[in-house]
Amino acid sequence: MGEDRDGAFTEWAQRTAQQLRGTAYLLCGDWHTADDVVQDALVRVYERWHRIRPEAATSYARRVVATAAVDRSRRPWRREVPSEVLPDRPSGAPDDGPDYDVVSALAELPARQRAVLVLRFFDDLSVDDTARVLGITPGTVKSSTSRGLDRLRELMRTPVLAGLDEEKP
Amino acid sequence: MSDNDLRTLMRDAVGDAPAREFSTPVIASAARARTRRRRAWYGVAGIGAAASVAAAVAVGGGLLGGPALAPVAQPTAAASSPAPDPGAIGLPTSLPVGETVAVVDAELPAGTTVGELAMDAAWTPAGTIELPLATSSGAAKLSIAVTASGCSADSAALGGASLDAIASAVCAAASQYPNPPGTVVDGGSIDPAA
Repeated sequence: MGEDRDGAFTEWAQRTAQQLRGTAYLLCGDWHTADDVVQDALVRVYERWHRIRPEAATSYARRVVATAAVDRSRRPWRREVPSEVLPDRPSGAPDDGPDYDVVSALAELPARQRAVLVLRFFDDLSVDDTARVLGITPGTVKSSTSRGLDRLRELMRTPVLAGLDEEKP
Repeated sequence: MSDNDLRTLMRDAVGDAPAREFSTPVIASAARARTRRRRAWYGVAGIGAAASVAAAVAVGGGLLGGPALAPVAQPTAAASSPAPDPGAIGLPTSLPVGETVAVVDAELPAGTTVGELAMDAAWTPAGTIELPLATSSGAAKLSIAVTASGCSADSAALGGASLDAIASAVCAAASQYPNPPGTVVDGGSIDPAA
């Protein structure tokens, strides 16, 4: 890859990487994994840089990040193990406060629901764009959004999420 | 309350991100390393295929009356494999479907994605899998085969270059596991990860 292309790639990566990191963090739940996933996405975009437009590169990178996050959560050693004993709440936690912050609550959702919510509400993608990124139908995006929001609201036990059911076209 | 509440929560959550720079030379180096790994895998696969052919020829020669080969000592089952722990959770021993989808997805041309998988999507014991594709012109199928002789991909919706890239990437990913995709383990059940 020539210097011009490296320059264009660098400019694109500087513009895009922080948003991708945010997406990856919300999907994976920790910054180290998120950085690994973003690095992998950037490598894949770099390999195809001569074949794709910068606008498509962002969409492609987002797809790699989302797919990698979904895939990681499907690996057997990443799955949750049922436990007979629930962990104690941290000492000093207020009884009437939310049980989860948004990252912990997202981690409790099925991977696809989590990806749908992050792409729609963090990346501000429309239903159709979210469907394209994840390779699912717009109907699945809508139902995953609705179910995901219900579950988030339940987990966070806070009225701040009330009224999030309205679908953006 | 509006959608903006969740947006704000998410933005706040990533607001205190630790600093991290992604340098283009490092990314370029990682891309080159990835290419080298793929080429190395092709080399290993080629040697494996050649060894298989040589072994087949040797066995065939023996059957046809050629010089007898000295028997080769075989390790006993007890020596080679410890007793399985029935309570253990096994790591995948062959390429999982989820990783296959990620690998394929990354090699698809812009505008084409892997479609929604069927609930029973899995590698067959023969080392093949069929994935749905969503393209701008509609749905399509992608067939992938990983065998001892190499990897192949076939789809009416994709060009030769994309199919070659997919086959290469799947081969490289499959080589990271001890068994070929779809390997039967535990006396007849398909590897749950595959």
